[in-house]
Amino acid sequence: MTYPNAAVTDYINRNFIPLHISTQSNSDLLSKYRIFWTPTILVLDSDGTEYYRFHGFLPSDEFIPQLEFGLGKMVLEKHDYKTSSTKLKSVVDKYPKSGIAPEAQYWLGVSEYKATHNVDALLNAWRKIMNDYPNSIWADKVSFAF
Amino acid sequence: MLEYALSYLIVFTLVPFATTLIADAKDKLSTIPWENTFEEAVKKAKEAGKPILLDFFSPT
Repeated sequence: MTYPNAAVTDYINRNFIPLHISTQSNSDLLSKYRIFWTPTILVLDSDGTEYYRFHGFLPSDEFIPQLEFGLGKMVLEKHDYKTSSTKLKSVVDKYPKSGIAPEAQYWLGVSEYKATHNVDALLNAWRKIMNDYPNSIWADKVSFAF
Repeated sequence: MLEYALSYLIVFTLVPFATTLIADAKDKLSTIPWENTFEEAVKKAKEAGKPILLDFFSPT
């Protein structure tokens, strides 16, 4: 189980209001968020709008980066590019071997570009995917640019 | 002799107390204050300025 891990609980308590819903207790939310499998973890803003989700059990060294990435994607979609760059960069810097790191690097490039309209910022971030995660699908996605 | 007696007294009185404190601290570290209703989570999220982590689970 991931939740008894002190780093995970600390991360959740610092960054989220945690909400636990049993699949047997609230059919309205199951329908609203299209839940068909558990565990399903969603990152919502304070209005309840969904910004990120993932499924299945993960060890703590994958679980925390997923949450950090979810926060980064949320603020990116809210056009808060300074915060999104910070969050997404922290995923790559702190958890470079996590499964979500290549995607975080991709969106970090997008965030940097949106903040500065500097194509070099985008390409520099994407070049790092080619160098550090050459076998990821995210390297395939950016390969057209090089 | 008196020193031995005092040592035993300290070990048998303070160690269980310290163990309880450590266990309590670990419990606090590993506790997540889960909300059970969407409405309450939204209310607290707005008050705290935090996003919501929603975990759908199947009871075992």
